[in-house]
Amino acid sequence: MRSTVKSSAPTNETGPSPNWEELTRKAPEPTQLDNIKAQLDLVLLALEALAEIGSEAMLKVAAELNLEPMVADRVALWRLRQSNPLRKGEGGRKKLDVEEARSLVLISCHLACQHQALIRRAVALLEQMAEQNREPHTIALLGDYIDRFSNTYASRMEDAEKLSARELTNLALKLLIDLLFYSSPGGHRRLWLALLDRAKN
Amino acid sequence: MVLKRYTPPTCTLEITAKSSPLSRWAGQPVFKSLSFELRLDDPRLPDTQHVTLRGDRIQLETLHEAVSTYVQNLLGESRDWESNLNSQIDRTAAGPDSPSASGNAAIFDRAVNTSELATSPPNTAYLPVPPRLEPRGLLAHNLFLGSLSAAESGPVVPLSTLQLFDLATALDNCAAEVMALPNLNRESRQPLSSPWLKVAALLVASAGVTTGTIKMLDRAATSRPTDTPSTKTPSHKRFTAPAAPAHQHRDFRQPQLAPHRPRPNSPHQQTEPHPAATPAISRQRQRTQRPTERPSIPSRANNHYSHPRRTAPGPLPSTRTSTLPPAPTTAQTSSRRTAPPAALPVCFPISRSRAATLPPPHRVHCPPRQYRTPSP
Repeated sequence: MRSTVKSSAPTNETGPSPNWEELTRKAPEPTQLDNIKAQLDLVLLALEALAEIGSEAMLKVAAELNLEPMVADRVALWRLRQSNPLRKGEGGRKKLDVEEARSLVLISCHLACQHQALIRRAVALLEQMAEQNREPHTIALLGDYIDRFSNTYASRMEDAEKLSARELTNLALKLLIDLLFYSSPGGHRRLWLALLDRAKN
Repeated sequence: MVLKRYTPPTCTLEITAKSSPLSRWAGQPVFKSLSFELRLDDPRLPDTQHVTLRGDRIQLETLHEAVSTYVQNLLGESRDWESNLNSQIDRTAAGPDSPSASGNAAIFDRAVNTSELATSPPNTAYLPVPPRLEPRGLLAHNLFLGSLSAAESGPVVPLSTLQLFDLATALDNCAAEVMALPNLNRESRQPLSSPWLKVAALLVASAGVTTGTIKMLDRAATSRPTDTPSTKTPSHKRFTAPAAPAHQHRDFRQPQLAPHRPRPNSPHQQTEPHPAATPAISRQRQRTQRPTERPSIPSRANNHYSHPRRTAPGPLPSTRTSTLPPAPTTAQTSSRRTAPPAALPVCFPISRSRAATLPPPHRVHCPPRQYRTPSP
């Protein structure tokens, strides 16, 4: 792909090239891609629910990272996310290739980085709730996040009926903690390795 | 001096190091005696629970590896979210005995052990127990300090997720910025070797100077009766030779090939023809042979200290610049160089006479890299 031309030393957020190259060092097996698609879609879903990020923000980040060829417009983004096998409906589903998965990794981590303060606050509140033995719902920020996450999950995913509210809450909170680690400068590497790790199992 | 300070909200990582004099030659900063101080000073915790850890570069690298491996394992956990998350509310109750927790710890232990094995040969003495982490529920983690533990901290430090994240971020940033820099790691040998370095450097330098002078005087005496090609040049040129930078001498070999014999500059060239000459000369030659052999003693000394020299460059530049004023300045300005300058006096007595046979303009063309070839 065109963004692999340049090779510069460490990670910086000015261009996609170094980060992109880091992700090319390890590639998934074709059979792992299904799992990766599902994971990536969930990460983006968590970001949507927490920071109320819409597709405009995702497309803007894609443009900032020079990833427009992968994610050109809203339809392209929708088709990418629709490649999640857990999604409801068949229409528009396309195969997600490795380059597109990498693009989504970079976009997700960039968005997480942009909203790091918010993610941090949410995790701090979650820790506080756990310490006080209180339900996370009782705090507005976490309650809103869990509600939005659960609702969106239920409306988009096929297996939503099989999951209890409790399980959905746990999934949302786990993704919230993961987002914190993806928001660091090396987050893209962490997310990519985690995707590969999880896809193995 | 404090080299870098990383201050995420819940911890402070301070890197201190001494800038090495070698930085001048390396063309970039070189540090020695790198050490760190890590303060886990989460403002949400009372001061009594703040922990300060100190250690050297290797301990910092081990800690970094331990933390990032642990974080990656945490993120890579696949579908056991449900079981794992159930314990997140009562984080103190959830111990490392849950299946996911112990599995994670096992994986983590293995990773740390292999990393320790890889670095163990030089450091086993002072790094017997590497740090490791274990989950304590979903939101809390235990950092087992191993040999990093201080009296105030105890062997285990509990970390919240935010603390773990901040620690991982600080260590990542530090690894990217500081640990990538070249470092002189063997400071433990430095106090032992530095007096020897001075002695050895002085020895080599003085041997070079004395053999040079002896030889110079000797050549001046023998040049008149003999007709050997090496003594054809007027003697006054020879007296200019000692001032020439020694590292350039070796590079006069090639220019010399053309006007003289096919191979006039083999190491035995100066001593071999002369025993065939008159007895008086050969006796004088024997005197000069001693100086030419003498460098073999300094060269052993040179080998001896050129190895630790990288660890302790402090005393060398001073002795070297004081005994051989012209050589280092030209050497440093011409290119960045890592060749041991202490090798200069070894080739000095042999090459000096060679340089004396050469017209000065050739000095300009000498590539400094040849300077590294061992003296014959």
